[in-house]
Amino acid sequence: MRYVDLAVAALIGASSVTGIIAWTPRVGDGASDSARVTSQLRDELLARLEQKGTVWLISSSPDEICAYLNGISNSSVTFSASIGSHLCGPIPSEGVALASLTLVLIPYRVVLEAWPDAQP
Amino acid sequence: MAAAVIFSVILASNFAVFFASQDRARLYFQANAEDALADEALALAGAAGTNLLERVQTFVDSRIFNCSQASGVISTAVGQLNDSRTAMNVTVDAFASMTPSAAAGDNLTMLAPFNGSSYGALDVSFEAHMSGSTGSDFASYSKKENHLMHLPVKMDAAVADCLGAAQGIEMGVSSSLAPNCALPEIGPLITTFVRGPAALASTDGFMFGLRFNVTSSSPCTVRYLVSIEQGSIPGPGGEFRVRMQEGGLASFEE
Repeated sequence: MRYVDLAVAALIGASSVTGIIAWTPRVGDGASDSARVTSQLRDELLARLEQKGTVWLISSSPDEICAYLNGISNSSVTFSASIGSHLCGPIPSEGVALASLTLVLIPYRVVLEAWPDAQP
Repeated sequence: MAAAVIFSVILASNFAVFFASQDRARLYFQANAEDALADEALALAGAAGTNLLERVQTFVDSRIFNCSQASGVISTAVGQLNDSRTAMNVTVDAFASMTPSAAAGDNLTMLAPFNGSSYGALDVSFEAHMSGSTGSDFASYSKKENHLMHLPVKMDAAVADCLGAAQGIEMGVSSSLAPNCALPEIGPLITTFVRGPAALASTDGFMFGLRFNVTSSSPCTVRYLVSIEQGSIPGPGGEFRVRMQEGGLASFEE
C-alpha cells in the first residue's frame, strides 16, 4: 500500500513538474521582451530620422545614406536600409527583433531597419 | 493525498502565472503594434509634408507673379495640393493650405529646417489624416494632425518693396511736370522716384529691376514695370527663386 502511495505521489509530482516546464511563464516573458526591444529600436530609428530629416533623405544619394547608417551602427544595434533597389548593411539573422520604418519618398521608397546584435 | 494537494496548488499557481504572462505578452504585442502604426504614420506624414512643400517650391519657382496678386495666386494653388501615401498598413492623406504669416514651432522635426512657420515667409500648413490597422484588427490607429512648415521666401517684404516702388512711380509721375516727354529726360526722373524702394529692396536681399518706355506724349505717359527677385532660396528640392513684378501706366502733370 505504501509503495502504491509513493508511486501515485511520484506520478502526480512528475506530471506537475512536466506541466510547469511546458507552461512556463518564461515563454510570455521572452515574447514581451522581444516586443519591448522592437519598440525601442523603432523609437531609435524615428529619432535618427528626425535628426537627419526627410529633406536630407531625398537630397542624398543611396551611398551617402548607407554610409551614415554604417557610421551609426555599433556593437549593440545594426542599422540597414533599402533605398529603391539599392540595399545596404548586413542582412538580419532569422528571428531577430527587427524594427523598420518605411518612407514613401520621391525619388525612392526608403525602408530603414534596425536590430540588436545580441538577442535579449 | 498530501502530494496531490501540494502539487495541484503548485500547478494551479503556475497556470495562473502562465496565463498572466501570456496576457502581458499579448498587451505588449498590442502596444508594440499600435506604436509601430503611430511611428509609421509619423514617418509617412513627414514624407507627405516634404512632398507638398517641394510642390509649392516648384510652383513658386516656375512663375512670375504680379506683386499685388502673388499671395492670392499662391494661396489658391497651395489649397489645391494634396498627397496620399501608404506603407505598412498605414495610410496618410495630407491636405495643404496657406496659413497667415506667423512664427510658430512644429513638432514634426523631420521636416527641418522647414518645420514650423516663420514670420514674413511663405507659411504652409497641412492636415494629415493618418489611419492604419494590423491585418487582423488586433491594433488600429487613427489620428488627425495639423503641421506647419515654410519656405524661406521673404513674401511680405517682396510684395511691400514691389508695391512701394510702383506706388513711388505713380505718385512721383502724377505730381511732376515732364520737362520734355523723351526718355533721356524722363528716365533719370523716374529713377529718382524709386531710389528709396530700390535701396530698401537691396537691403532686404532682393534684385530690383525697373523698365519703362514712353507710350504717348500728350499727356506724357509712361509704361513702367517694377520687378523683384529673391534668388538662391534653399528649399526641399534644392535652391529656387521667386520673381514678381508690378506694372502700370502713369501720366505726368500737364
